Amino acid sequence: MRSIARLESPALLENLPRFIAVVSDAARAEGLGPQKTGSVELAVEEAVTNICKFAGQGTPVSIELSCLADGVMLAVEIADDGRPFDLTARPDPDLTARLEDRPIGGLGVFLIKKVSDRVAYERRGERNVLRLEFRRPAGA
Amino acid sequence: MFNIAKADGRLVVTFPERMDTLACEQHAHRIDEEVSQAQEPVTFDLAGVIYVSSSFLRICLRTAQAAGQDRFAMANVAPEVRKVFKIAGLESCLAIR
Repeated sequence: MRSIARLESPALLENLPRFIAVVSDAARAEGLGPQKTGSVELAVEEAVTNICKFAGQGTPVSIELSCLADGVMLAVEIADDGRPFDLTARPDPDLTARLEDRPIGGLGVFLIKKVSDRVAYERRGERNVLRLEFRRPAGA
Repeated sequence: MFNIAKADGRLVVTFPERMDTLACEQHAHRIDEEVSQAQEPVTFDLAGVIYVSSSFLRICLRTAQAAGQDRFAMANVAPEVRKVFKIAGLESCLAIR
């Protein structure tokens, strides 16, 4: 796969629009279409927000986002130097629970898993590396 | 555009085009405050909203739990937004029109 975009920035919520702009441009450039581009934006927003809110616990964290493409698929790799966190290992929320019993949190990770075509995590040295893959829709 | 107003016996909240994490952080406190003081049922009017993140789902859940399931509704929900509620399993337990 070829690298088509990259952004490194401190893990601060104020930088979220910059990360979204990079993946949104990459998805459009790869012809993923509006629906799939929305999925890319949503998954990346949830992943970056999680890092900004929870990875540092008071310590500065840096995020490196890379977009890779091969004409069939867009892959977004999000690396951070925060504390280890494998979101693929998180249990899914109980979607059958009654409204009053539904927990307020936990939906972001679930959305990442559901709107991405593939989610993979690995701990590389001192960094979390989350890879989100999005296939180009048929006919797009 | 974000706005909270009383109309036809309901507390009606309108939102900007994108209710992403930053927009939710900006408006959540005021929504919580107004809902907690409201005597009226609450409607989230999503006309013009084309993108929501999990932060917005949390606002909806919190509001529905605070106001009561039968006193909270969402109106003018675009298909791409409805899809997010459906994925999160909230389509059936929130009154979405």
